[in-house]
Amino acid sequence: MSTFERRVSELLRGYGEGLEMTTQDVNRLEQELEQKRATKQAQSRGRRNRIFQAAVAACAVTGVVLGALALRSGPEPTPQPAAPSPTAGSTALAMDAVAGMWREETRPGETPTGWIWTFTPQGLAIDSLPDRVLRLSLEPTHKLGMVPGGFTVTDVEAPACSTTFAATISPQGQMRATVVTSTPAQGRLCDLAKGDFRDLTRVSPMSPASEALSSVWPARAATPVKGVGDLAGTWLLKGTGRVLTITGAGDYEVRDPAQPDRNRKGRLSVAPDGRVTATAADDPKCTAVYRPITTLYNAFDAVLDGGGCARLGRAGDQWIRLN
Amino acid sequence: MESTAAHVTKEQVLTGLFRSHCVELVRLAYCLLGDRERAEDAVQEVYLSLFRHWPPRDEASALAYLRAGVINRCRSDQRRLYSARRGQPQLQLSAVGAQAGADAATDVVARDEASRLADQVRGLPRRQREVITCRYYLQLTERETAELLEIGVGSVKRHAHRGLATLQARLEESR
Repeated sequence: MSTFERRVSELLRGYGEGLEMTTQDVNRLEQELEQKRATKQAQSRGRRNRIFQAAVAACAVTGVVLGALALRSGPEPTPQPAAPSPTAGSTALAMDAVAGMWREETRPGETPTGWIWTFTPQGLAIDSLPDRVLRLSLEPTHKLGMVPGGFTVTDVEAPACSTTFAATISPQGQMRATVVTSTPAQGRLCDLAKGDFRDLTRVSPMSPASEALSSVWPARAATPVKGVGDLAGTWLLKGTGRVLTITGAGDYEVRDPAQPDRNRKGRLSVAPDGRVTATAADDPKCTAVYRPITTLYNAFDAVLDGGGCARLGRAGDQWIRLN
Repeated sequence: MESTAAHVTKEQVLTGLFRSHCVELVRLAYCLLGDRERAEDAVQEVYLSLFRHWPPRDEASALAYLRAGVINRCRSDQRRLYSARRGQPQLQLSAVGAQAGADAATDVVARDEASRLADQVRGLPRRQREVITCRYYLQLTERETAELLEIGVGSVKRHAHRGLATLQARLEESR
């Protein structure tokens, strides 16, 4: 070690050790830590209770979905260990374990991002704008590679930007994706540092956690829908895995990977009397007419008034805003 | 589901780890951030993360996890700080410097050579800053530094060399 290195070391040690830390400081920090931990556990317990109640109510439907997944993927993937890095030597995370659409949950103290993470064998697509969400399954924003205990994504538009996540997936359909490595490059997800994480809830196919999902957006004053722009966004049909995306121009698409035969797309229009008509893209005669809709911004109820060929969901539905 | 006994043990071990390493880690974070409150928050967050990612293999791996976590957390914290100030380029460096200086607790300490050096280290590029801190504050070997930061030994040497050269030049300029 050179003289300068020794000097740097002495000064840095002196700076760090100059921070006075008394026993009272340590006790205070320990108490604060305990409070933070208790708060987080209470929040977690609250979530689990709500999920359990929802899971009991929906056990039959859940069984069908999980059964279908099991048939597709073999043994149900066990939750991955909550390790800070992918586990060397273990098998790669199965694509079936992540396939589908996931809502990014709001972090405490932050505003909702509205991001939807869509995992397909073709890649990962992340976006929050309906016009892009509509194309997500066709145009992944990221290349996706499954690795032991997690996955690696590379920004399609910025190939130098690559991020590896360790993924912990609960049987309820909740995922914590924790950054293991991230290249210091411009691009989506490359602004994340090692240890940063995102909590996701699988909304489609439906998961126990999404069964009783509520919108992350606050309700606003009830407003009658006067144009399709009032409905623009991505919506989840409550109690199902059916996702409806409506663009500002009125194009819509309904998708549910568990029931692909019911996928629909077309155009919406709003009549002067407020009734909303959905018209199938491939058949102008195939329509569904809904009674005038009032939106709370974070949710709206749709009641079928006539037709039904191009209906978005069932006869009477509540749609929850995802973004 | 964990048994109550296992949970008690987990809490006891975590408490032991906290009492053993909290001071060292807060000081590490303080070196990287120059702000006591943010340093304490960073360390608490990393312990919470360890609690969620239980169990560590042993105490050595727990300490490695905690140190790496603190460094990562400080990096995120600094990114947020810079990001929040984006759009105010004229103020950015002076604001960071002012905060670091203010947090040096007293004017006497702020003028102290150690504080000046710490400010200079925090002004280095990310990797250089982390390597210098690991090598000369934590006094880790090149290999230990490489393992902690998950980079090659060659990179450690390169970043340390560049960081030291920058520090030497800046300290000479400031004399």
